[in-house]
Order: sequence, then C-alpha cells, then structure tokens
Amino acid sequence: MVVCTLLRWSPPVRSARRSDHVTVGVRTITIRWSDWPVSALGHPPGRPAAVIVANRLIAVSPGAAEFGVGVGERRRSALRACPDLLIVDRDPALELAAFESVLEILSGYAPGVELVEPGHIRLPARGPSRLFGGERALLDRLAVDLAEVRPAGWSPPGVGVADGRALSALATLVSITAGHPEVVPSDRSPDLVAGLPVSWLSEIGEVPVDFVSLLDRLGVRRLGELAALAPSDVVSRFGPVGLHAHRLANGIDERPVNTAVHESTSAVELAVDEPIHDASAVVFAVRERAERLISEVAASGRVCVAVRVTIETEHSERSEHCWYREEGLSAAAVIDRVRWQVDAWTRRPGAITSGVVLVRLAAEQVRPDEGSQEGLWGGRSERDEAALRAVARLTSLAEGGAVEVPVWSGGRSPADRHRWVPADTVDLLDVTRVSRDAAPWPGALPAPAPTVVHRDPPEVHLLDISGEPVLVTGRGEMSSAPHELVDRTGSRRIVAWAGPWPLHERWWSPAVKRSARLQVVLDDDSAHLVAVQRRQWSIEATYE
Amino acid sequence: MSIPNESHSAPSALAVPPQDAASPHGIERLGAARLATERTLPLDPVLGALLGSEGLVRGQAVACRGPAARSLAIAASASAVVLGSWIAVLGVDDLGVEAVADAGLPLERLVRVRPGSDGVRAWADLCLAALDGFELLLTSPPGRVPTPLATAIRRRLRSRAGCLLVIGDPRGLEVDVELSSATPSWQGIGTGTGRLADRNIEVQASGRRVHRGGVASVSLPGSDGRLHAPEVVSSSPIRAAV
Repeated sequence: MVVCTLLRWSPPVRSARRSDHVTVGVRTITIRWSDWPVSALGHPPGRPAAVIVANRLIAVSPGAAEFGVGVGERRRSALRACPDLLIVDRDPALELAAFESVLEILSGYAPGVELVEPGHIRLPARGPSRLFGGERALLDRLAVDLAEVRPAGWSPPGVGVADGRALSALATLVSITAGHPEVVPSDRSPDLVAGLPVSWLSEIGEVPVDFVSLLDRLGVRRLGELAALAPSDVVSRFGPVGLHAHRLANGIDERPVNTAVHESTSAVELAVDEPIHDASAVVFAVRERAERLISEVAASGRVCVAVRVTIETEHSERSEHCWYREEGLSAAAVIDRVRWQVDAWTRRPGAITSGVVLVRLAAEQVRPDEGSQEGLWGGRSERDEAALRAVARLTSLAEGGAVEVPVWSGGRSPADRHRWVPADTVDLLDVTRVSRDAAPWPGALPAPAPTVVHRDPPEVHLLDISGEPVLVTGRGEMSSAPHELVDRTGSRRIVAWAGPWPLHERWWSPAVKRSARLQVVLDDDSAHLVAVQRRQWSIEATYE
Repeated sequence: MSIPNESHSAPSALAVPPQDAASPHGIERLGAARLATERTLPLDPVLGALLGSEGLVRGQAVACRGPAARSLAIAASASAVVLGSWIAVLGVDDLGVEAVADAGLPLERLVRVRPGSDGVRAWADLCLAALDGFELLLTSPPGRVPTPLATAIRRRLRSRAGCLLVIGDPRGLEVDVELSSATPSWQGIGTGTGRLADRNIEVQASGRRVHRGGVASVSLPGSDGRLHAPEVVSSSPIRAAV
C-alpha cells in the first residue's frame, strides 16, 4: 500500500533579497529515470529498444544509444541507424506496474511522494534529510536503495535537490546531463538557472512551448537573459505566465502568495454495490465523476494540479497515488491516470484479488487559472477575433481588389518566396502557413531583402562608360562594368554594384532564357535589384 | 495579480496614503506602468528612445518619410506584431514580404488589402474597416485625402485605439509623429564586388507630441534585416539608444 499525503508548503518565509511578495519554495527532491519507459519493457539494457509517441522516440535503451539513436528522432531515421531496433508504443500502465516497487521504496523515506509520471517523482527533502543527517547522506542512501531498482547497465536516475518543485526539476535535468546528483543550496538557485536554455522551462512543464518560441524570436534564449529583463516589462507583455517564468529565471520557485498552490477539499467518489471486475468498466464508470470534479474546480476559476486517485476492492485491497501535473489536469488527464493505475494494478500478479467497489478522486492541490494570454500560445485572443471579423468585412468591401495573406512557397527570387493567397481560402490562425524552410534555396539572394518588389518591373537600360549596353554572358560574366541606368525619367549614374548572380530558374526548359541579377546603388543613394532576361534589363525590386 | 517591485515592499506601498500622489512608491508606479501598456503598443527600443516614448501611442498616426520610409514603418510595427497585434497593409501592393519577415515581423498576423479601385474614397472605406479590427494599419494614401475623410479616419483611429503608419507623404492625413530618414549609405557593396549588406541612415523624429526628438544614426536594415543603433549623433537627451 502506498500512503501518500501531500507536500505541504512552508509558511511564507521572507527572502532577504527580494520583495515581500516572494516566499521560498520548500526543499524538494526530484528523481527522474528518463529512460524508464524503455527499461519497463523488461529487456536487457544491451538490447536496442526504443519507445515512441507520435512517431518520435521518447526513450531509448543504452543498447540503442550505442548505435547513435537518440530521443526525439523519428522512427525512420532511427531504423536507418539501427535496423534491429525494437520500437514499441508507449504504455504508461506497463511503466507504472514496473514502477510500483520503486514507489514502495520511496514511501519509506517520506509520506509525500508525488507521481509526475512513472519514472518521475518528487518528494519533500526536509523531513528525510533530517532523519538521515543531511541532504548528502540522504542522497547516498537513496542511491544505494535505488541501485537495486534496475539491472546493471541502465544509467542511474537524475536526482535534483533545490528550493521548490520547478527548480528541483531543472536541477534534475542538469543531473541527467552531468551524470551525478545535483544539489542546489538555497542561496545558489540563481546560479543554477542563469546558464540554462529557456526551453527547459517548457521541458519541465512550467510554461507553454509557444512562450519559449516567442522568447526565442525576441532573442531571449538563456534564463539569465530572461532574468535580466525588468519584471514590469515581462508582466505587461506576457502576463502571469511571463511573471512565473521570470521568477524561475531569477531562481525563485514560488508563485506569489495570492496565487500559490493550496490544498483543496474537492473530492468525488464512486461507490458501487456490485464489484466491477473489468478494468475498462472501472474507467468508464469513473468518467462522469472526473468531469464533475474538474468542472467544479474550474467553476471557481482554478485548475487542479494534483489529484489523488484511490481505488479499493471488495477485499479491501487499495491502490493510491497522488498524481501531479504542473500544467493542470483536465478531466481526460484524470481519467487517463485512473486507467493507468487500474491497468498497472491488474498486471501485477496477486496484487488484486477481487472486484473494485470504490474509486475516490480528490483534487488535492489547485491553483488559480492564470489564463494564458490566449493567442500568444494557441487559441484565439480577442485581437484574433477582431482581426478575423475585419478580414471578413474588408473582403466584402474590397470589390475588384483582394484581401490576401502570405503563404510560404519557397523559390529564389524575392517575388516568389511567399505567395499571396485570398484570406478566405486559408485558416488565418494556422501559423504554419508562413513558416520558412530552415535552409534557403540555393541561389537565393542574401539578406537584406528588398522592401519593394515591383509587380510590373519597369524596363531600364544599363549602359557602360562608353554608352554601350551591358550584357551578361552565358557564363555569367558582365560584358563590361555598368556605369549608368536609364529609365523613362532619365539617367542616373551607378555608384556601386554587385553581382551578377545567375539565375537558372528552369534550367531543364530550353524555352526560358537564362537570367541574372545585379544589385546597384545609384547616385541618388537609392539601391535596386535589376534583372536581365533576353537582353532586357528591368528593376525587379528596390531597397527603400 | 501582484507585480514584484524590486525596491519597495508591498506593505509599504499599500501604506502610502492616497493623497501622497507625488510619491514614486508601489501603487502609483504600478498604476502608471499599467496605464502605459494600455496606452501604447510595443515598439523597438531604438525608435522608442527617439520618440521619447515607451511604445507607439495608441490612437496616433505616424508618418514614415525619406529613402528608408518602408523600412522604418516595418521596424516600427514589428515588436507589436510579435506580441500579438495584427497588421493590415492597405494599398502597398508591392511590399516585399521577405524584408518584412527579415525585420522580425511575424507574417502570420499580416494581411494585405488591395483596393479594387484607385479612388481615395474606396481607400478610405477600407481604412476605416481595417482600423476596426487591426491594431496596426500600414498604408499610403493613393491621392489627396479630403478633410472630411481624414477626420473620419482620425476619429476611428482614436476610438479604436490602433496605430496608423503612413509611408511617404500623408497627403492630407493628420499625423502626430513624423519619422524621417535621410543620407542613406549602403555598406558592403563595391564596384563589382561584395553585396548590399546594411544601410546606415539618419532618422529624425518630429511632431507636436514628441518631447525629446533627436537624430539617431541607425543601421536600417542591418545585415540581418533588422534595425540596429550604432550610435546617437544628436546632443538632445535621448535615453540609451545603443
């Protein structure tokens, strides 16, 4: 039986350096076996094996790593590296069944184990470290106990100790990379986080992925850079999510008092007279209860971050776990966890001998739903809605004209890298329509790009110093240096030029003549991109 | 939602009596900060320093002039679009979208509107409709804008609290701020060598609402397509523009 009471937060502690809003998170240990999903399969570590979710590997065995197979890879490229690789879909129930023995070991240390997922847990450090004579001694002892968990050959778990959940989760990631436990003293938290990539915040579930990519676009890549921003700016631009990220970047792992996680008493119970013998029937029966619980929490403007799932049988056998999810638990997420728990239970021989008569779901920890600045991270914002309405109105008004949006299409000339398509033919909120390929096309002009791309390129003449027309030879060489540019309005001297860049747009088609481009700066300081095709020059684009 | 305050603790800020309005403590400062973000759209700090303002003031029209007019207009709107604003581009059909993307303006919130006719009236109707739903409108009037139409646009701009960016001559539109560019000089290109890399140009802010206008020599576009500020050449009190 796993007894689980909750991590309790210490009373607000004043931090000497920061304002009084801040309390310091309690010392927390996070332990994470990042390859648990694959070790739970039960194969020896030398066997190349991997677990996959949505066509991406999420865990690989040491045997597979030897072939250079890594987490995040796609199925096909992994098989190319290692044709004998065993690839298995993820099965959290199987992982949990294998993890129960670990949970039993850990319950001997502290009565507050939180299960993030099988192979990833958190427990308070203060009590057990007092018991064993300090954090170092506690970790040594844990290392000995946990060494038995998996056969030799699997790597030891990442272990991080720090102030609060998120910082200890970050410390654990550091520990996995470093290969030894990471203990972060209370006064060293900012040093821990400063050099870490911002993306690790989404890795540990503290901020949405979109927030990270937004910061990336703003040039903020390290937590130290985020920490350096003025808090008021971060709050005004990113709202509560930004504030939370900013605190973590400063090594402060605690939400302000008024938004802190606190305990809740909401609970629902499913008690049946007729014992249920089928695992899927238990899940089905509990579905409506889970929805009721989560909507009750949501009705008070909060999200549930920790749910305790207790299942009892007719013979008074009991399975109880406290599931934690930083992003918040939806009804579906709660139901998933019930399913894993029931399935894992039935897979352990002799653990369950009779039908289920009681399922209890308790929302043990909730926090205010901070919203999430919808629109910046998915979903529609008010601004999106307003723009969509305006697009509809403009489309009806622009008779004979058009309302268009850019769609990425590749191509080498400034005019055909994006296509403009009518706004009512695409999903305006689908941001992937404009995403550019990572690699520029061969032959693409280097940045900066011109701000004016002439729809009807004006024809011009390029003359050399003796007044003869300038041409580009078949080998891509200039017949002579261009000296002046003549258009309808007159003649301007060319003060600088670069190129030519040949452009074999459709080299397989003899019908299309070769063309080439030049960049020119004229004596009025204007800069243009001129192109020649069939001996005719034209101004294709202008740098305005 | 409480906002952290580096130098003043919350209890003391709460204890500040309301009549003590001159105090720079917590509540007042936070109130001002919040007001500032409601009043402005995010703006590149280089241009912000030139305008002496944290952002693009909502309800204002900005004219971008000179040889770098388009680059200026794009640079002025990029930050706001990054942070969720939508931008409509009206009657600037030949805008180079690569340059827009290189300037850091996310294309997913950019919509181009091509008027069906060349008339100023049709353009003005589209202008009004765009201001209804877009926080940023980048445009260039196709002709002289009659005063009644200019007034209607002005009123809509104020009531919808968006920002109007005019490329080139405002042609009768009332503008609050003018960002003008002059003396461009292209770097990296020789005679038959190199390539256009970046452009040094002087940008000046003027207007009746610009308190601390000055001249800044900037790189626009820089070699990465974005606005950079190598130095401030004016002696006027521009805050850290580097």
